[in-house]
Amino acid sequence: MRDRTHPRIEALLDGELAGEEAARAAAHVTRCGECQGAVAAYRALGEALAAPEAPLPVGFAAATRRRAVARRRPEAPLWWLTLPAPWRAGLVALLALAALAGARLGETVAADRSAATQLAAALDAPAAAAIAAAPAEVRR
Amino acid sequence: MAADRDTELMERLARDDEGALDVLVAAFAPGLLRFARRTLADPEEAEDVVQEAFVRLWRARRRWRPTATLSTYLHTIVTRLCLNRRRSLLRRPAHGSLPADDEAAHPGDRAPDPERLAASAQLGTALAAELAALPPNQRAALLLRHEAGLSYQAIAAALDTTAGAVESLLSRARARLRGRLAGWLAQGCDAGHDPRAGKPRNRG
Repeated sequence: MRDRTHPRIEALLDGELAGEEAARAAAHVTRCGECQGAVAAYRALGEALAAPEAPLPVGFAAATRRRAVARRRPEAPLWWLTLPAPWRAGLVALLALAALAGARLGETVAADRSAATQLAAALDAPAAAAIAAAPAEVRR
Repeated sequence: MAADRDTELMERLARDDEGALDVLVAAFAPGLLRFARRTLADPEEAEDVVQEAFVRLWRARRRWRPTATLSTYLHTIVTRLCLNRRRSLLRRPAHGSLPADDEAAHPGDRAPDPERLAASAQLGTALAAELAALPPNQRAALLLRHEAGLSYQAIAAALDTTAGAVESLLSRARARLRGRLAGWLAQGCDAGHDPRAGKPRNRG
């Protein structure tokens, strides 16, 4: 809805016009009472909007710094990354054993011999894997 | 000049220099707070939003590139945070805190005191209410232009729109405020220091 008889006064005052368009608009304003009124209204509103900045609330800067710079705590499971590699492998194997054993024991309250054999086999597998993995890590 | 200072401060920030963050907060937070307070109405939320903007600046400190001034960068973040909050929170009705219409439109009836300080304080109150009642995008565009001095292009980037749309948002916002605050603004003109900002008469 651009007015064709008047230039873009607000854009001019906002510093958005350049070159010839700016020059033409500025020249128009000197001849046009209506546009001079628009300039005055723009300035009055601008002055009204130009409220002074209030000082920062007490402690604002320090609180902002604390919040920004706060070191993130490492996520819970990361502590074990600090262990040497073989320990880690051992730990993994141990946890696997515990989990498996727990699950199996829960299922097999009245375990027969074949179940016990299976359990023993299951327990052996991760342990063997861990033993195989550990030297590989140590070699690095 | 501002760009040089921005770059220097951001280089310090990239080296984890917390003192640089204090300098940035001192330089930019007052303006950002004024903007956020006018946008969000709740002062505590405004402070929260501004702090969050600095948290994001800190996190981005090694990725920052001087493609925009820091002022533009921070105002863009605060604008988006404010608009998101307004959308996500079910705020109290926008008109709840407004003075009755007749009070805003005819200040002379209720404001016999001609003292300029009082008048300007009342203008501030009326203006705050009218700003609060503007559509969020219009208000953001207006404040980014008048408070932060952002270009149409920068405002468009902050609001995810075009420079042409920004010009139209500004035009509508100003027309509305001029209409609603006509009495106040004319009064301000009469009392203003600057005669050029007063009432220019036709010169020819």
